[in-house]
Amino acid sequence: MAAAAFGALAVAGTIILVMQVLLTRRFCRRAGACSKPEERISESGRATPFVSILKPVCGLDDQLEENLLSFTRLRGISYEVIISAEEWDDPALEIVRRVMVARPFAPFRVIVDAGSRRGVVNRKVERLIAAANVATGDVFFISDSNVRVEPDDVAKTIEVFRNPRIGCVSNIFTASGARSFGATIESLHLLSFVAPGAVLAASAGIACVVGKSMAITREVHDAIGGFARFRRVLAEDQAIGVAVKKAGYEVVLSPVVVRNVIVHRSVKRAVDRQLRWNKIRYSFSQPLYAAELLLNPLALSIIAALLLPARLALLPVVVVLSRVVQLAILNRALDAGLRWRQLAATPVLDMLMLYAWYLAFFSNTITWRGYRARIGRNTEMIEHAA
Amino acid sequence: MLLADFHIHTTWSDGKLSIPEVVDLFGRSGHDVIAITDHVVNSDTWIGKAAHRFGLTVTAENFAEYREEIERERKRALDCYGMIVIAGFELTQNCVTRKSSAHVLALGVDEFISADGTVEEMLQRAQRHSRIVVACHPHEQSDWFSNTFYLWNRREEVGDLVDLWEIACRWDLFPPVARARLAYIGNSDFHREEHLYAWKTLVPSRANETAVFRALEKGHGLGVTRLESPALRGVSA
Repeated sequence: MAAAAFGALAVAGTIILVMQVLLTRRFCRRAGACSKPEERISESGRATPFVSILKPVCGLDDQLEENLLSFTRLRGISYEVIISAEEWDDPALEIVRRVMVARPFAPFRVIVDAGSRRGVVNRKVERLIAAANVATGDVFFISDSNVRVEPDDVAKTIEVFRNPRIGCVSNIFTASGARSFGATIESLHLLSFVAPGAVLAASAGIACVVGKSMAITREVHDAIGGFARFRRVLAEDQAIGVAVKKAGYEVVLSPVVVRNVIVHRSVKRAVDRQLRWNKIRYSFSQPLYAAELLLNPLALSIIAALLLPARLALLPVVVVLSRVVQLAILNRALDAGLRWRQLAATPVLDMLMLYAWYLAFFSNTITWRGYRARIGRNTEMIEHAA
Repeated sequence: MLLADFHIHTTWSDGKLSIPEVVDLFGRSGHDVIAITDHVVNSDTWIGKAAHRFGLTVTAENFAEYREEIERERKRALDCYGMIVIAGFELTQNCVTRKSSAHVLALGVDEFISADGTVEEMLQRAQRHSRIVVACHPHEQSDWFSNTFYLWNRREEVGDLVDLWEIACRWDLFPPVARARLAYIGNSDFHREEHLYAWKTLVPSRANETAVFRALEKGHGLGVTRLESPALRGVSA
């Protein structure tokens, strides 16, 4: 009986995942998605808003120089890039300087402001507050330092603001450049869970914002009280999305796929990141978080097979094959560039995801970029007692 | 990226440190470029006359000596710290109302520039006789400091006479300057030692005076940083 229940859950989970994959593929296709470098923005002659690309930096990300260089080649918009750092001797600023020397006409600016040193604060939000203070644009495009774009991506993404009801847009993103096993695991996680999850939420009308690459108009930014309101929130992106919706604007997902460059990463760091995100989702809704187990049918199928080996021994094999095929479809739909041997690591990813899913029930403490905090309701950051 | 502060006062006007003391302080704290910009106060209003009476201004009479000392310290700063020192003024017109007061940095000066006459006349002289003209603390400041709104309220009319605007001055930041899409820098408006850790400019250029002025003239790509005391760094959660 128990074996049948686990087996049924594994099959249900697989069906949900297949539907999610098909939904993602349809989302990309319908929107003409997945930006092609050679594709140009149509020249309609209309006035486009001036865009301030806010780019918080902290240390040396993989291929930071190439990532920054991708923002010197943008087309179809008038823009500036505001690099925002906490310390003026941050090594990232040396790379920024190199890019500015190599591309003297690139509209880069730097702001270095440590922001508030009081209590536990989200340092990325501090960087955004500082950048917004010196930004001149009508649209703020927030882009993490490990994001790489194609020349038309930003212009295509902010096109949604032609509809004045839309206040916030975020991009789907996939990883790129994985060379280590940890980086592969992280790439697979973004491909199999994060991207389809964002599409699913958007399809269900839920404000799902991924702060890695998102845009908000200055008008809406001011209407929701600015970034300062989210200073003590860990999931500032999601909180911004909710605030934008509450202010009466729409939050949408852009079909433009941007790249999160992850070349070298240890497995531990990849799992740590999953765990941090898991704790964030747990703090938003515990029942929904618990239900995510369905999205990991491999574990369920293994339990079913162990309970009734005679009849369900092949179920895990079928689930694994199904997962690999799903990821292959997503890999193609999102142009993620993963190889077959990397896709073959999917079962390892699923087992690590299960481990990270389980751990989130037992700890609400996170350690990130040198600080330690507890996550409260709606990911409010609470000082961690020593 | 060069760490620069283009707004520094010394005992030649109302600052508390002499030029050699300023050079040592800024050189030791890692600055790459500084500008000595003592006040040149107008002498055609009663407030200006009072400043002259108390010796809080560089004058046409003592300018040669002022310039000579800067030149001497320029060489020493380069030798001791690899730091560039630029000669300048803060042309100052203080009036009874904040709407009529205006302060302007003139950077790269070799001759005296008077602050008399109208603000526009002062700006024109600054444009002719200096390399860069900067509008100082153009917007609201948070303390009792006399605000200088004249230039801000006429930013379109005087736009051609001002090269750069201070978006940040000492510990204040003026986001409206960015929103108005004006080319900007950040400075400390240094008067006393406690003003050392304040807003600064980041200049993306090579470490020589010509390259620095070229970067300032270009206007874009200049950054700002709020320099923190080493004692404060590492305190964050």
